[in-house]
Amino acid sequence: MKVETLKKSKTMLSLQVQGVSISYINAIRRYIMAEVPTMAIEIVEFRLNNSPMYDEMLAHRLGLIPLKTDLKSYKIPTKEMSYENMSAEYSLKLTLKEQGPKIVRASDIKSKDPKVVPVFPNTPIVKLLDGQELEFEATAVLGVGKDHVKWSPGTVWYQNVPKLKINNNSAKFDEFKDKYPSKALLKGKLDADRIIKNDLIDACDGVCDEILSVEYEPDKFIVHIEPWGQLDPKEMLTTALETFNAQLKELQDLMKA
Amino acid sequence: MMIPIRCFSCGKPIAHLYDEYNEKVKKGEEPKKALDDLGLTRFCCRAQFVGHVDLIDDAAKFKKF
Repeated sequence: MKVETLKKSKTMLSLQVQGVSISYINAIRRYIMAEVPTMAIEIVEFRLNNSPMYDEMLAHRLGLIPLKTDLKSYKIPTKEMSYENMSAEYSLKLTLKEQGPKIVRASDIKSKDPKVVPVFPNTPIVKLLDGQELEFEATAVLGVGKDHVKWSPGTVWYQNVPKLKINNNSAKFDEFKDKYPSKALLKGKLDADRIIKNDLIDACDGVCDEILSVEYEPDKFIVHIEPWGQLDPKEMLTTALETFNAQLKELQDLMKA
Repeated sequence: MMIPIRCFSCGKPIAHLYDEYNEKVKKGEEPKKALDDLGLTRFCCRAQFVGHVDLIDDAAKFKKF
């Protein structure tokens, strides 16, 4: 296997992976999106709410707010545990008490753990008018994306690396020239770099096979990992692989028994 | 009512970008350019912004209960 980093930023990690099968890449994709735990608000107890929004709407909005996650200091609660009297190992209390007129934002939420705070403090939750109040206590827990997408750490997708065969000198070029998107052309000729950069592969494929044909390399992939902010992409990938390994190990042990 | 916290389709958090988007459009910037600058590349997220009508001010006029 050969891995090459194509793009690395806070909002995206793109890797080129060579020498693996499509099912391997897809397994990694599914493990990142469904099995990597993150923190999210799960229970909200409203003390006071006379904002324009119902409790349920607010609780839904609160649940979707991404929280910075520290995987080392929290554990995923089991299904048998009750949310009352849950220890600090498993849950985190967040509180909010605000009075209108103002726009309540994610930065107004007070977290008991300074490491677990909303990723985007500017996120608006609700608008309070004069005399309106909002007060609640929320419980955030670790969870996984297969239970609810609010716990998903990001999105992952992949594509095969395309190989373009271009013949600008084809006899049919003048006839089909206008059928290609203008962004695919450079000085009146089809340009492979421009087609890939502008994501026009599917738009150009199939117009005329004599001028341009597309082949995909079956064992070479571009994998994009886009985190929502709770974890960094490297942590997402390593945690997914650890979970995958642990589950394979479990299967192996069960088969021996 | 208010801008959704996340994009309905892909799940990307978008609510924190709404004020910035509105400011840019108010200044006369093309919505296309504003969305590109905010890093909203997929059409699902872009649709959330373009199609959103902020009704919280109207809804707040009426009593909830």
